[in-house]
Amino acid sequence: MKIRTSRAFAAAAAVAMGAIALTAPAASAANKTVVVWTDDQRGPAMVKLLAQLPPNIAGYDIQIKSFSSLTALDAAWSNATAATGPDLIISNSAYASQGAKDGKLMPLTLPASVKADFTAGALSTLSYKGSLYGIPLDMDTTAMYVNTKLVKKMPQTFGDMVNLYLKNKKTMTAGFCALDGVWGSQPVITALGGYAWGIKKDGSPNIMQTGLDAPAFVNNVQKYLLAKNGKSNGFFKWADCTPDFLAGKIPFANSGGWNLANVQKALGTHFKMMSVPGVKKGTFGSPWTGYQGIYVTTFSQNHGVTSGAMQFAIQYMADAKTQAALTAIGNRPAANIKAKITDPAVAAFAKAGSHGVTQIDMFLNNTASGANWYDLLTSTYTKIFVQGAPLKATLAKAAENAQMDFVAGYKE
Amino acid sequence: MRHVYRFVGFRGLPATLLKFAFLAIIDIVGGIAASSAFTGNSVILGVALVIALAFINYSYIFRAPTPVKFMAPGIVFLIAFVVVPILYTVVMSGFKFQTGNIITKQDAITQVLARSVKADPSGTAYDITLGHYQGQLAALMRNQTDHTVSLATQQTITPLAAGSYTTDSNGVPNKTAGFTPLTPDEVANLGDAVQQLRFPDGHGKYVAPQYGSLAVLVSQDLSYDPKTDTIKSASTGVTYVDGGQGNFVNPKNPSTDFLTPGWRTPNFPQNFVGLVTNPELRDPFIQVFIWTVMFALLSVLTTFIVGLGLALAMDKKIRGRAFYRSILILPYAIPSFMSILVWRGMFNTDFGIINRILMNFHLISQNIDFFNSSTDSKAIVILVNLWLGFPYMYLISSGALQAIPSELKEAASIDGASAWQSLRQITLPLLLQILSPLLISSFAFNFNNFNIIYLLTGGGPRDALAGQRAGGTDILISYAYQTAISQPNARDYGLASAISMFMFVIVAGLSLWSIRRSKALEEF
Repeated sequence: MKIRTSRAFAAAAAVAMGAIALTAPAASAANKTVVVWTDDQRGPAMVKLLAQLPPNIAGYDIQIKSFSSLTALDAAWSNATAATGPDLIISNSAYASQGAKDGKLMPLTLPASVKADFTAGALSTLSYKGSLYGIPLDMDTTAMYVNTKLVKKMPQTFGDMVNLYLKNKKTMTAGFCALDGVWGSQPVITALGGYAWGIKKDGSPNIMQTGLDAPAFVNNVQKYLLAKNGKSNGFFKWADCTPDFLAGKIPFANSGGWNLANVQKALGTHFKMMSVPGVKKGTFGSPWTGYQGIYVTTFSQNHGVTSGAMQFAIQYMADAKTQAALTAIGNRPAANIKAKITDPAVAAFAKAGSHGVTQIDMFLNNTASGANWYDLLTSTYTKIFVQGAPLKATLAKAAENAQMDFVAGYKE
Repeated sequence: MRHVYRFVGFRGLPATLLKFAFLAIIDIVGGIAASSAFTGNSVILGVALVIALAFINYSYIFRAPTPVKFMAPGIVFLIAFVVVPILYTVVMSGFKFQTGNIITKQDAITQVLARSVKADPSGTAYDITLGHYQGQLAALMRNQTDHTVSLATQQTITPLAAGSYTTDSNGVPNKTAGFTPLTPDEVANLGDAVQQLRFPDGHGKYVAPQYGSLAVLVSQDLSYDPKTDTIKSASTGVTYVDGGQGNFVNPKNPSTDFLTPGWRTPNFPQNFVGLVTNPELRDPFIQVFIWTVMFALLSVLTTFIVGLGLALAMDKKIRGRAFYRSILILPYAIPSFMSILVWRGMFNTDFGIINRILMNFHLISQNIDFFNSSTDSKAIVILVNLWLGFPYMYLISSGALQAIPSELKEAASIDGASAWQSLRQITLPLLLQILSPLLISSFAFNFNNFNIIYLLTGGGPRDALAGQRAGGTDILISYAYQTAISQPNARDYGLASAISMFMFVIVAGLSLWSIRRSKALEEF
């Protein structure tokens, strides 16, 4: 074969292959595929769930795509386009307002029978401007892990915990660790008489009343958390303390079901769970109660699978049986109030969450003051406990900034 | 060897076949990518891919000039990864492109209308069977609350008397006279057409299927008029108009009464003006800009001084020189992100080794919280960057020293110059002449050195309580990220693009100066 002939032949073949690839349909299958994005924790749980309890969505296959972390999921979600985006996404409640603002989520209209399976708080957490955007799946809430090797008698009051630490200061690196950072420190704030916002008689938030400078809270922080030099007495830690708790150097830690396996691995059976006790016997701190949700995206319209995505979310994921199975797999209390919880540890989280405060991300994530609630708390804790800033004035400034954020969040 | 040359030089039948095999692979992969792009409505991307494929095919199949063949892949990647992002950034800096204004106007209208669909207060819902009735899609429905059964068409809803229909095992009606039910597969094949169905109840509301077996009673408040490009609310009578800022607004109260979501829209030069006039952006921007320049300057200066000092030391014949040289370039061989994280751990307040050493030597009585002090953090950033950067300066200084003729130093020595005089008046001037472009490019690199800031300090410390929006060690690139991208509920890509443009001008200016200084352009 002459080279010129072979060149012409091969050229034609190369171009033809490109043309075939260009004109061939990208994929062909009998069923349409509904793609669900989620993070590294819920992804494997969802795969197990679908294997245990296969959904019956005629004409559609469900495909789970797990990202390596919530951060990776966030990044992918913020860059998602009509071509690349998912049809459903499972993530925290902050996605409701964020996705709604960006026009990436479809509003959902639930039948009364489905609505009745969820608390008003759970549904409002996943709503934005009166429209519901997600089906609540499970509760993101915390309870207190108690290392029973270090604690022989379960504490009745916050003072009991502090006293135990002060007596054993030489062998303990801290008394209490908020394993999830400032978010996980909410029950400490509330146990000591503080709060983010007040609650009106009808149960709605009163954002004009911020409680970081409540007199009781100021007094209790002074009494329980500060040393004579005006800095931390060492009891309360909100960062970099997880290794020490797992190593048995801190008696109390607050976290959710996502850390249960780590704690079991580190402490074996030597731990118990309870709510963070308040300053008076029989009272308890209130953790944040957030919800994970499954959201139908507007990208599903581009893929022509909104109907299947809606059916999967409303018919399958909202169902009590599905949520009970998911709870058993993921150790997080189900959002569906009819879902049965059998595991005692998960029941402890559900109990702690039952007197929790609904996490309203629109308020907490607002940065009108220059920082959201969590950054504000980090700065406030650092100033008070590390740098020894004046307690009352610092908390008053924090309350002022928080209110600015909440008001701006409310207006959004 | 000859065969290898023929092979690499694309000569002979095997080489030709191999070349076309490679081309075929590229065409297949590119073709699939273009096909996916067109399927996903990314027409511009699809067209760009087709053009790139055509260009590559032309370059290798036909007798294009040889330089084109060598440069074709480079040109395609240059356009894809340098030119396009720059152009996109330039364009977006003139757009309102932020949280709430991300999608297109058409998509925004669709979303606004969808959001105005509200379920009736009692949450009335129906179990449905979709089918055909009188040639149209229709539904047999059972009210979930009172279990009444109706036939819903796209014109009306007709109650059915008991006995005029049959039900399936779940009690959902599935047959009545003239109604042909669809199979589940047929419903699935309808796709989202199911959700477009509207069964009016004759009282201003309608029944809307959510999927093939469920429908809800809803009403829609807003309607769009494409002729006037306005949206009208049936409940309030307000007519919303395009406010020119990416949202439909109530003309009487545009700042507070507007519809969401909005769409991305041109707003040049507001992002740039905001950087100058909005104190919340401007004040931290100035502070960050000053630190960015200082950081880049100090980084270059410290790494150069240490690198040059070591190069001068190693320039002499000392015992174990090869070993020392190997040791000196070790920091360069370890991935920088790992080194940065190790350094971060070393400075940790509670378990960092720095605090432990200081404590063991009784130099401090309590741990130092390095990363909560702006001054300490800045010093640490410079120190770690010195660790990461001196091997590079050592290597280029060593190379440059080799290029300085030894005769010059010998002549100076004969003339009685001391070692210091020789260094100051001969070595350094010549070295700087050679290394200036590299020092300038190092400055430009550090100007945008996001990794070290993000991984080491996260831009902090930031006094959030005092309302600070920029951290003590934020440089422009991390500030742009912090301000415009890191907050999920308050992203502003337009502003980030404007800040990027500012940085681009500085870095491009420095690069140009560097090229001119190296006189590289003289040959062109």
